[in-house]
Amino acid sequence: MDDFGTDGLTGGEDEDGTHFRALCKDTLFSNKREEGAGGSYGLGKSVLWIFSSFSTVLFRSTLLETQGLGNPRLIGRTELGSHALGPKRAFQGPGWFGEETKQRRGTRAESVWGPAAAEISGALGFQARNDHDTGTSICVVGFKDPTADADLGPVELARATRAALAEYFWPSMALPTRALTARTEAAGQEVEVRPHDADVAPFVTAWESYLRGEVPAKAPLTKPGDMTVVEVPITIPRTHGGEPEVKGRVALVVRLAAKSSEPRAGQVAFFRGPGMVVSYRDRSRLALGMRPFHAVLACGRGRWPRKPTESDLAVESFLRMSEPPAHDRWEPTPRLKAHYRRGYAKALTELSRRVDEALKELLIATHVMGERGPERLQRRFPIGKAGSPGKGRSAFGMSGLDARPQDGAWSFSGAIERKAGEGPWSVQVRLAEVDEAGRRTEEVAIEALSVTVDAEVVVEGSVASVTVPADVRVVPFRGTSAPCSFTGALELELAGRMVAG
Amino acid sequence: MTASQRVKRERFLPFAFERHGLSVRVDSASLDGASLPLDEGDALHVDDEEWRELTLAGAVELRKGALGGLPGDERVRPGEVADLWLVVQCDRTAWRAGHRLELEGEGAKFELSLERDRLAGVVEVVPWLVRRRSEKVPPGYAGAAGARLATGARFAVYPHEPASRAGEFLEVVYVSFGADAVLSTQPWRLYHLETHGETPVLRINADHQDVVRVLDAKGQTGLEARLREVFYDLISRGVWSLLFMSAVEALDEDGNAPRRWQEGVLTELLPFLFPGAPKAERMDELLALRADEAHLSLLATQCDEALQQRLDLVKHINRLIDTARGSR
Amino acid sequence: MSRLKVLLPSARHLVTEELARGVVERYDEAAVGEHTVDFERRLDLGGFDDAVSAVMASHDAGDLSMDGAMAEAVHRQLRLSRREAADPGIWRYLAIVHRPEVVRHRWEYRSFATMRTRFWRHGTRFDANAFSRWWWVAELTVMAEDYSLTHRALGSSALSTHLFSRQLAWHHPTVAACVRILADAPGADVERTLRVLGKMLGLRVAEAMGREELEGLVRAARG
Repeated sequence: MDDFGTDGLTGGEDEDGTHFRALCKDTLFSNKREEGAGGSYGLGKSVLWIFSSFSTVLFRSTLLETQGLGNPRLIGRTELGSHALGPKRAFQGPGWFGEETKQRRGTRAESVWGPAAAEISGALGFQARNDHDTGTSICVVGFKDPTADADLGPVELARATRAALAEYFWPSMALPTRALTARTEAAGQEVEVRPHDADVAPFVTAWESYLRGEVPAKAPLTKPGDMTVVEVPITIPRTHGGEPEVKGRVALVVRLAAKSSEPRAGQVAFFRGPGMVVSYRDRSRLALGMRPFHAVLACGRGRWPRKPTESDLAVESFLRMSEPPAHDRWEPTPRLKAHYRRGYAKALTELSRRVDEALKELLIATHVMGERGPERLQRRFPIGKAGSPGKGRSAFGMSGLDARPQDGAWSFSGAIERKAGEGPWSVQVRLAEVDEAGRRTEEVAIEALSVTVDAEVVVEGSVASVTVPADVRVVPFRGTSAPCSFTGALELELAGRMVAG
Repeated sequence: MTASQRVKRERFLPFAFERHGLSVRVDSASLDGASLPLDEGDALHVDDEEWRELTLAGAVELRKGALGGLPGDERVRPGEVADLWLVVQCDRTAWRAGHRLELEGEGAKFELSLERDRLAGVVEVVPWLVRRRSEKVPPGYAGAAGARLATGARFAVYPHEPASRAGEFLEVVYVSFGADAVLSTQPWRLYHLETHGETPVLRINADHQDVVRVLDAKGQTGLEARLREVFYDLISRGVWSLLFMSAVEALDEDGNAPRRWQEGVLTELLPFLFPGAPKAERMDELLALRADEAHLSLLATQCDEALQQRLDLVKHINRLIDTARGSR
Repeated sequence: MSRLKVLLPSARHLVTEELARGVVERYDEAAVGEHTVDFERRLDLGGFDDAVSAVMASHDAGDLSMDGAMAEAVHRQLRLSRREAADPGIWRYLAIVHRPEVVRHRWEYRSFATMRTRFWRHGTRFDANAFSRWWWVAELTVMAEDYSLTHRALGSSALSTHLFSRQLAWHHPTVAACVRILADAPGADVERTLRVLGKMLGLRVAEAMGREELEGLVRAARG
């Protein structure tokens, strides 16, 4: 494997925090410090040794800066628990291929540099490079896919590699940011990896059109190939370190497909800054009647790679920490928990939910117009009723209401009980004459109102008010109206109210 | 949550009056001569759209103390001083009509005809005991002609009304699933409920023509009408469950539903779902069930119970069985 | 020929100040199409239009004496059952879409608030939809094609205002008693009498009372 246009394996033999150290020396810890770095655990490189039948990997690197040592640099590593050279020399840990160098305690193999390295690497089968062709070539000695049932030939292997690169790395291969190009070579033939020719072509088309600014926002999708972009909100919670909540957005680019039998129809490609698809999620069965589509959810730095905003960077960082070592999904990870306050899990589920909602809105097909269905059946579903579902139990009970004429006036009585709540409360009694339809026609003045508990009573016109202390639960009352003619019926209105505060 | 205030209004007449003295009992009902099954309780819903006359037969009964509005000497001969009246009132059509009944012993039988063309909305049938002529009476009693002496619970009739156009009910449409871009992949389906829009839509597959014939059956008696009710029950059960789950899912932590129809669904079902719980606590119970995944099956069970009760499934099946037996 | 239609509640926004003032004379039927549905049966408006136009031609704008004539004309020409007439949509169609100029001819524009209700509000109140009020007052007062009670009731501004806003107006014998006794009474007298009568009827069952008893009651209410 060769990469080009990179810095090469820079850094001294024991220098911390260098590319050399990260790829060749360290085992578990990645040096990917930058927020937008691809991985986050540094476990990816261990794959190299796993795929070697001899657990051996050779690195030949042309550096941008050689510090006078001269290009290229060559080193090899055999990843073993322990190994022995002859019956007498036993070693713990990995074995190294390089130049034998004396140390304070014994010897070790260090990188070979310059013409010597060029000569050896040539003999090992590495292709020669010019000094300006910086980058690293990796040789996995005795390549064997531990997950495959049978060994693939080089042609087949190259094809599979191309397919995988196209499938997962197309976002970073797209114009105009073109961060990655890839070729495979087998049987002496070199072939460029072209995502445009692969199953993922519709995603690539959507993504490239989006980057060129050609995709309209929230536009209706009518014919296959139509595209639109929807901004989906995401809220990043506060961090334990005191960074505030961030309201960000991610871009959902949707392209209408022709048939649901098209490869990957109904899938959404999720990715962030580095441009590697984290997962394809099948949303084709989100609702009955979803039209076929391909969608891209570009997040973090990926939302607008040319000019990411502050909130894009916050989203990037958040999603990076939500990726488990396999980088194949976004989920609540221990790192997420350690870094963010409450709400990180909800932010992820909300993102999924909102993406689903947006897809539904865009893609559920329009039904044919129907005829009105059976009305009797319709009336079985009275769902338009207003009102609060089950709120509003009364705190007051009322009993024994009575009113009758006595000595030319209304004599009335009753009782009110507070059944729930605490604190002081109030009672109001009001009298009025009503007509045949129950409408109030005239107020009836109250002459007197008495209660049998210790409470303050104020009578004003047709209204008597009682202020009741908190410890009184029941207020029986009795009263009389001013003299009246009894032309009509009397309405007695009794109200109980909690006193605010 | 408890309401922090309550207001109650009660009306009093300035003379002896028995507000619970009478009761209306409807024994049979017929629509243009064909008998109509009665609902439980003090109301009758007429589902048919095309009819002219509804006839109710029954009795107004004097309950204990019904004659309390009459002075003692008149109580022994109420038929001589008072009449029983049934007053029909329909607010929407400004319709009022009185029917005098012969008071015999403990009440009076009646047969009452209501013309559909005079009615809309709710029709109330109210019983009254009324003084026939002006009389001199002791203080505390009503002596004027036409004075109210007693009344009782009213009987309500709900004539069929076209479903409102304003979204009071679920939108139900017939669609040929075969011709529908969305539904054509599932021609075997009878119905499809869509809940993602502003208001839900129930689409019924018009391609199942025999089923549609039954769904469209008219009348309230006969095999097809009975079958129709059972078909409606089947559809209703499925659809209510879906509406319910969709509404529950949409509730926020405080029990607020984002869409009005979702609130309507819960208003309709919660009383059946938590019959023992006070109105105010039903939502809390629902939210508690939803919050705990272990209780989701319990929620489904309770929803199912509520629906079986609300739909009166057994009654409709029994009627179907009776009719099917009778027609053999 | 025009047919009666029903204007849906969604058409509320069509009642504008411009319509009430006549700046917009009428709406294009096609433009309001989405807010209308056909009335449940075919009812041609030819006779209605002719009769209403004739009443307009014989009465000056704002002349309240046209009420009786309009009520009779509208009621005679629109043979509706009460059930049909209970749909506010037909009255709204007539006032807002079909003949808005009739409303403007009867009521001089004073404020948009009241003018608005004369197009939209259903019922018999004095400020209700003009056609609804005319038809319903006629319905409550007609006696076997005899509209003399209708004319007398609407001939008194006080009576038509205070009588038809009460439920007692739904009872024909009560209405007849009120009109006979109060048609020529002063406005304040009418208003007070009807208020007292309403209270008195709250203690009685009007349906159980004869003509003489009802007239006696109205007199007693008048005091």
